[in-house]
Amino acid sequence: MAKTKQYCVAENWGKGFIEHSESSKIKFAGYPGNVWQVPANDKGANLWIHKVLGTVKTRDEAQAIVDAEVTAAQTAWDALSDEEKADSSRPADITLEE
Amino acid sequence: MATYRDIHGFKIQNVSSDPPTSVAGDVWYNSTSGVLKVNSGTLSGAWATGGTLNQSPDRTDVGGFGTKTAAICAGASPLSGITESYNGTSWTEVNDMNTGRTAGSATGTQTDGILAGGFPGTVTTAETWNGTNWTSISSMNSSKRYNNSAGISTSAIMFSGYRFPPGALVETELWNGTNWTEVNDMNVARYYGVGDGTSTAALSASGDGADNQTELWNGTNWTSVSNMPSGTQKGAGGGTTTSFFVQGGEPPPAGSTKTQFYNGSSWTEGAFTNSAHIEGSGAGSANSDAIVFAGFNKPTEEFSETGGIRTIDAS
Repeated sequence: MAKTKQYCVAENWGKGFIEHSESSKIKFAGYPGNVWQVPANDKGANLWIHKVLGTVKTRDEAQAIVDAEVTAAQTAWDALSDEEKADSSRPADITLEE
Repeated sequence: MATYRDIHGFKIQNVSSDPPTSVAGDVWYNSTSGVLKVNSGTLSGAWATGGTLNQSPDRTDVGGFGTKTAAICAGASPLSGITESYNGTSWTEVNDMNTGRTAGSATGTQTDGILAGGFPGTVTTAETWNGTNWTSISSMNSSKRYNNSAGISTSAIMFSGYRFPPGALVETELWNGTNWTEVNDMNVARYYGVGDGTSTAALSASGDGADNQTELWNGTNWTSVSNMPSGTQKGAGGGTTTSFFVQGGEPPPAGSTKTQFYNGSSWTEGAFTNSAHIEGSGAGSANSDAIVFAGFNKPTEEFSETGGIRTIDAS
């Protein structure tokens, strides 16, 4: 089955990274580690990756980056005091779509 | 060059008020307001990334207020009094709060705000913001965190929130610039909600347990109004009683990309953000003035509306 999603790593520089005109046409999903999911086989998405100098990753490569970030966040959460833990949720594992 | 009359077969109409119904492409001159207007199609919108906060992108449960082009982000978890100011393009670090805190509630404008309550523990303390400095003011009568607020530094209300015991709160406290006074309770106890407005016209929506209930404050009493399409908690948002939004939140801890807009009588679901958001903050209102920021390593995102009735700038 042809893949419907693709992944890249690109650092969000802020204003202009994703513009309104792009957001209205492309379905974005941002993940920890500057991992971005956009539609595969989509001209607009490919142009956006080029614009942000994104490095295309396979799903497994992207998953590994996300896992490392989530593990670090979980470790930081585990080190919080019980009072602080009571006020927040432990970062959950994230599974990227194929 | 073809004129409007060549294309459409009639001249641009000169009317004293906008027509009650129009279709995409209709153009008219509103003689009362003296502007040329167009129906630019179905009302919709999109979110785009905005400037990145300078300090710790993992700041959660901050106090946020202002507008899309003039906002303040104050405090954070882990505990800090860090304050940053947004100009529509970038965030700049400004003077810290006097008391580092998280999970309080803030409201106002970029030059006239107030923040009260919060964590560690559950606090009563409050501070006002004048565009340059934070000033400690009288403490609230009752401690609360994950509360909501509406108003400015001289006239504000703090409502809902959490304190153990009893847990979720219905309390409302009114600040008149000098003292806090307990006023009428909300109908539904809640925390983790979104609230905004003024001390005489405020809205409270969502809350713990992914609640979808909405209440309207008229300066004296809270009244239940239309429920949100989807309940949420730990979302961000803001606005007025006729132009309000709630973005993100449930499910924790990943968050949501969903945005819900309130127009004074009903809620609609609108454009999705580019990243899921939770435990951040928001400012502005529905339509073209919404902004969300902070949360678990989340980008600032700005909402822009497209379509609908627009004024044509012929300059």
